Amino acid sequence: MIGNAGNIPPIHPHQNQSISRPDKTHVKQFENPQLLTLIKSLGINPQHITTLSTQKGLNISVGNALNDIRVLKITPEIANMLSAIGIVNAELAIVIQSQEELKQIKKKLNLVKGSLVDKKTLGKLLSFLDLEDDLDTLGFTYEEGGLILIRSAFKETEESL
Amino acid sequence: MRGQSSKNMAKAKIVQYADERKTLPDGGKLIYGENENKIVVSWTPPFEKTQVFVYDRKTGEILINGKKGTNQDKRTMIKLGTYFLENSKEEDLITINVHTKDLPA
Repeated sequence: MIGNAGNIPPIHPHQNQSISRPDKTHVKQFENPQLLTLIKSLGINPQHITTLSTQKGLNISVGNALNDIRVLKITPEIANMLSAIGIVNAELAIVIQSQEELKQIKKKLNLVKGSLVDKKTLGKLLSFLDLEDDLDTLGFTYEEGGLILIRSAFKETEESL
Repeated sequence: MRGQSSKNMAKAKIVQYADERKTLPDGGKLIYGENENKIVVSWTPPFEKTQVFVYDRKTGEILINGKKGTNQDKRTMIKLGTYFLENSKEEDLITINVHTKDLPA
């Protein structure tokens, strides 16, 4: 996965520990908001992270939830490789070795993308469903999939013929 | 939706590609919506205006762009749906559940 997430500075776990809450839990606070957003978007509570380690580049192990995510800065060599497959201006690469983790992350990112549905389009569709409430009074939750719902609806329509 | 409490019951469900830029092989875009009364299909062919099919689940009638349609319009809607189903993967889709926000106590 590649994203324009800006330059991510190296993470130094001990430096990132909360200074304002010197309690026994030693809650880590991430200085980098993009990394924090990424971790939250994966459904991981940053306060539950028990292990955060860095190696060459940025090699992150996040508790037991995702054990093998490597966040790489884009070096000129990686940039050359990416440009060969049509990806330009990337500033961050996340390397995932496990297929299961890849699936999990893809699913989470799809949900995050979906949560960004254009409100104008949504409002128009809702008006056809007689839901002309102010969008601010409505809440939205998201789940992956939907084929069964559509298949069932078209079957219902077909039966009316 | 059956079996859920009224507090949590979705007022409507909308299904579309998680990635809004994704289109069907012909370049068209389809968004599906439903509630207990209606089924709505919004179909945007490439470089053409959006057509909205609204099927009334109680009366069995169909409106297309707000005008009363025929059985032929129903068949067109079903054909579009079949095309969508044949060319979409479960993992590419997202269902948006629309519900009323809980009011503060």
